[in-house]
Amino acid sequence: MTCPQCGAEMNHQADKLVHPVTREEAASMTAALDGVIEEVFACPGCGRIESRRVTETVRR
Amino acid sequence: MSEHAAELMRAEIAKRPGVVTELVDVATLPIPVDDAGESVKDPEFSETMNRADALVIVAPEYNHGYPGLLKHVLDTNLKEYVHKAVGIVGVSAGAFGGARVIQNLIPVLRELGLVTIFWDMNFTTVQSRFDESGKLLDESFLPRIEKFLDELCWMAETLRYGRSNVSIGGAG
Repeated sequence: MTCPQCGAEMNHQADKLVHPVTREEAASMTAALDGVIEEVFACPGCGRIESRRVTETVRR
Repeated sequence: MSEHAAELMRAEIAKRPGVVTELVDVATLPIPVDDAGESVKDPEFSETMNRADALVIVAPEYNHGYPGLLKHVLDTNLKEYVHKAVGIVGVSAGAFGGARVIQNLIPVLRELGLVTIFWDMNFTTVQSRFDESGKLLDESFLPRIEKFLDELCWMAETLRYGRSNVSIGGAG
C-alpha cells in the first residue's frame, strides 16, 4: 500500500480481527477466525496509518 | 474534577523535549449517539488519533466503571490505535483513585489494538489535590508522573519503530 500522504511504501504492521457489527460484515466474515481481518499499515516516512478489510465469503 | 488532572498531565507531557501533545475533551466532540462504532467517527478526532504515537486517558470512575461517553468515543476508531501506546490515569473522589476504572478499561483498550503500559496514575480524593485554579497541591504526585511518562515515551518510541519497520508475519 502506498501512503496517501507522502507516497512512501507503507509497512503491513498488523492484522486486526474485527467483530462484525453489520449484516454485510457478518456475511463476509472468515469462519475460521470468527470475524473480519483488517490489515493495518503504517508509513515509515510520515507515520500515517491506513487499513483495508480482507473479506472471504463463507459458504455453508 | 477530572479536568485539573488532565491539564496537569498535558502540561507535564509538554515539558518533554521532542513531544507534541494536545488535550481532547471527549465531551466536546460532535459524535452522534444514535449509532456507534466507526460509522459515527469524527474526522478531526480520527486525524488526531492517526497522528498520535501514544494516548493518555484520564478517566473518572463512575459506579466502578468508565464513563459511557468515553467508550462511545473510543469505539469510533480502530486502525488509528493499532500498536500505539496508552497509559491510564484514574480519577476518583475516594481512596482508590480510579483503580477500578483502570482495570475495566484495560480489556477494552487491548481489543482496540492499543498497548497498555504498566504504570498507572491514581488521583485519589481528587477534590483535595488541586485548588480552584487547577494548581496541584500535592507535589508527591510528580515523581510518579515522571515514571509514568518515561514508560509511555519508551513504549511510544518503540512501537513507532515497530509500526514503520517490522512487518507482521515476517521479518521486517
